[in-house]
Amino acid sequence: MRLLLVEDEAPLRTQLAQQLEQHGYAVDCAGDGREALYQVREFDYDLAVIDLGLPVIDGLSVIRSIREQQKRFPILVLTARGRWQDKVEGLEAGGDDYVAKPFHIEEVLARLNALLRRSGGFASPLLEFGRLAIDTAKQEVRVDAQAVEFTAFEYKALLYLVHHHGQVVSKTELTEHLYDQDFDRDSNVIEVFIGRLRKKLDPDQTLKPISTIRGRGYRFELASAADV
Amino acid sequence: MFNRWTLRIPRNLQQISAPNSIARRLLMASLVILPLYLAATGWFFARSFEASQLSSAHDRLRVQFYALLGAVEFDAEGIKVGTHIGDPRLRQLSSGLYAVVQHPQGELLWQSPSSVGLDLNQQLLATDNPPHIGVERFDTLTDTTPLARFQYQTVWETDDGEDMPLVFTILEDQTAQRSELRAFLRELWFGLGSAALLLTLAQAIILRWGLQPLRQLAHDLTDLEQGHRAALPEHYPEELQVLATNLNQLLQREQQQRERYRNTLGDLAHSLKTPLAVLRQAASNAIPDSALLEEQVQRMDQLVSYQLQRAVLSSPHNLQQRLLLKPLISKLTGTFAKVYFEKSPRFAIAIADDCECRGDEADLLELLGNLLDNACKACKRSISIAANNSERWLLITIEDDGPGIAEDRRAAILQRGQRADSYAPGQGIGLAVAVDILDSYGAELDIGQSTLGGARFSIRWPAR
Repeated sequence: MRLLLVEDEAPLRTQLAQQLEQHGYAVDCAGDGREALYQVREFDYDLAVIDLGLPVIDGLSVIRSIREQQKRFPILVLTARGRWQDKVEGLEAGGDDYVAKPFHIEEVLARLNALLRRSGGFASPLLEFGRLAIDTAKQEVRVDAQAVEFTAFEYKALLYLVHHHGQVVSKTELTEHLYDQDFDRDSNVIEVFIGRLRKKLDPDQTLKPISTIRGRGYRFELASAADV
Repeated sequence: MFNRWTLRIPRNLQQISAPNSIARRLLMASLVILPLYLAATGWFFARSFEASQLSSAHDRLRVQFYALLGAVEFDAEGIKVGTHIGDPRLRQLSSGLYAVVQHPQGELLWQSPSSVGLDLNQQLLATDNPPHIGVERFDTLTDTTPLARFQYQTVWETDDGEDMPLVFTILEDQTAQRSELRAFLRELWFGLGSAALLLTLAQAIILRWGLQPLRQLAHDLTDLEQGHRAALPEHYPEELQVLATNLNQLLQREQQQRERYRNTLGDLAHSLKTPLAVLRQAASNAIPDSALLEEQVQRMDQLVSYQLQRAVLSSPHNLQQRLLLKPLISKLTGTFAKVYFEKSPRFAIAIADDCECRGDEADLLELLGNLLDNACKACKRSISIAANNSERWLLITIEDDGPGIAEDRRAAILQRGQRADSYAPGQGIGLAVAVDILDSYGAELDIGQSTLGGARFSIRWPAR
């Protein structure tokens, strides 16, 4: 999942970016509103964390401008003041949830998780696809009720495909959403990655959760229990 | 073009004549208006005096004419005027009253003895332009000595039965009247001039006296600024008292705000000491207890946010806006629909479109936001929000279908001035902030049991 982090306080930004990366997000950082808007125009994000008190262009304007550009990715608002007026303004401008400073990283992660799930169209933190079940709250993947171990990156890749289930996701798209912009892109890495996912999810090749669409990309094939 | 003109004139006027003092402005205005007014008055008086002089001269001459007419007799030699009749001045040489009877063609028929020394020229008698028969003519001549002239042409039937036209001319010297007029004008202008001086002087005094309260106010404000007094006194005239009262209220509010900041700062500093002491203790241990550190940091965070909220609370309450309650609630429910997306509480809102609430928007959002946040956390599915306006109160109730609040906890929540450091760790500061806001607005909160099954928060908000 590719995430844009807009925060003007450098120490907090660095710390938060590190923690988010540890939890499998590809994080791009921006230190002010103008930089943030530039990145939003240039890249395709799955999520954004935006502080309201920003230099050059304030957070509210950044959020409004993002929504005016018809970008629909979820936005988590960070507020320093914690007054309801600020929260209401942030969410009215187009934010989807807020976290008041100072915050615990766990809270930010939980909110981001919930936002991603919501944007993927899943109401419950538990995603069920027949024999496969993903608990997004605990970040657990189970096949036939057996827990399968995933690295954070593998988990995010799976989640990205799951959130776009039934759609073809190209290798480029997957790379862009799994790695930040400084990453040296090599499509072989993705192939290896998908291979590993398949092996872990479907060791005896009976489930076939991810199919390869030749020349176009991958598609998560399982139907959600909620869709049926 | 026209517009530009009308725009330009006042601006120029302002540039030219806008002295930076009310007294000077008023004085300048009256210095322009007063002379104009007095000159007009003087002119009007002079004119009417002169007119009345002329009119009485006219009357006098007419009387002379009729007396003369009655005294005229004809005989074969011509006209005779009875000596027994008429003004004695007519018989006295150069007396100033002269009478002449002549033929319209200019032939002199009779002249009073007084006029013997007079040069009865054509101009004096208007020989070339006699008055019409039966029409009085009255005018004045100013060529040499000022004279009033009365002329009348009549047709006299002689004993022979012949019609004989006669032109009567009566002249009166106006020198005395002229000097009378001059004396009057002198007195008039002197009187008006003194009146102007006196009025200007009186106005200057009135202005000084009238504007005295303003100077007093300025003086009192200086005193206030220098700290010699705490508030403006209550002895101003009505017009200024309003201003003074408002200023006092503003000052008082500022004072209260300062006090609040000071108290907040004091509270904050004091309440932070306990967790700091715990932290210092913990830091001296070889292996700090991370759970303890976490707990204390959280507590400090809570204290800071609580005191911050209290400090920014707007101070009541003359400058309050009137706010429509429904849009305010909609903003909040919109926010909560996003924040509690998973739970998606159902909001039943029963508020009239024109339901108004007086207060600062940030305060109301904070109060209602905290109560609704509580309700969202507590509820199973439903929250109902209702508001009713009465004469004195706005009643707002927020109910949920959650577990409710136990009776013994209700009193603790409502206790005013409870400091956040006495709240148990983990307990939100939202309700404490809400109670503070209610308190500062003189509003009341009651916690009860909702028919939905959970808690019912009833707010009585002052309507004025």
